[in-house]
Amino acid sequence: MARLDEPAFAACYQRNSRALWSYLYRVTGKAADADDLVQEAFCRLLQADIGGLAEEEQRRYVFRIGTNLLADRWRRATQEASWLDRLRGTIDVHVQPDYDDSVSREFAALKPRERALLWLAYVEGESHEDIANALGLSRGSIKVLLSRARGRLRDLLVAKGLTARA
Amino acid sequence: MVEWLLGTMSADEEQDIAAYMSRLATASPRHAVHLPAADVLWVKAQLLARWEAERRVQAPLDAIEPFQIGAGLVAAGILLFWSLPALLRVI
Repeated sequence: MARLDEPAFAACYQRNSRALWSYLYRVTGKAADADDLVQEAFCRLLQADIGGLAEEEQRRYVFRIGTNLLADRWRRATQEASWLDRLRGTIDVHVQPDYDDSVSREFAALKPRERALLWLAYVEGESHEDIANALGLSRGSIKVLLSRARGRLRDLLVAKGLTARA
Repeated sequence: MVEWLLGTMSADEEQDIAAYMSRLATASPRHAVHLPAADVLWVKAQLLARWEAERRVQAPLDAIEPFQIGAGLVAAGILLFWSLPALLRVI
């Protein structure tokens, strides 16, 4: 397999950059972070030998890079937290999302990993296996975590009267 | 067993969540999206790759630099110690 050449890269970028931005924006809650992460993800994509992959596989690959970059960022933020915060257990590296539309209010109440799981499952339509690969988790734990995330979102929607049952 | 324990969501609830996620996916944020054009990003990626390659080549040289300085200082010390009697005689 070879690296992407310029026309193939441009086509891949046109196809996937906006979708990746939406995913990263919905998970981080910060438009500026999403801007940075999309650029970084596509720069890394160019270092990978993915020239022979089909379009759908390229999309999954770039989403996986984006998810890894998110995880790296959170890990770094956790490491940079003071020892006192760690000792107290008051560490919270996930800043409150600043979504600017009313639809997102319930989504903002979820944890970033829950947001990532739900987005990949419902919007990207990825299988449990693909989500597990993207998040670096086992397939079995994805089922459990996704079910919990769905349950949390359902409770939030019920509380806001946004479901048919409410 | 796990499937049974987790399968507590009704089809209606599942539909509600799918509908909500679909609304969320189509809701366009008011934040401006600042993404560069593909050709700009291509150039940036090429530059980053070149810097990374240079950094990789430079890394061993950077790693031995403290040893070079240390060896230089030790050699200067030995030279000074060796030539000290001669220097003292001259002075």
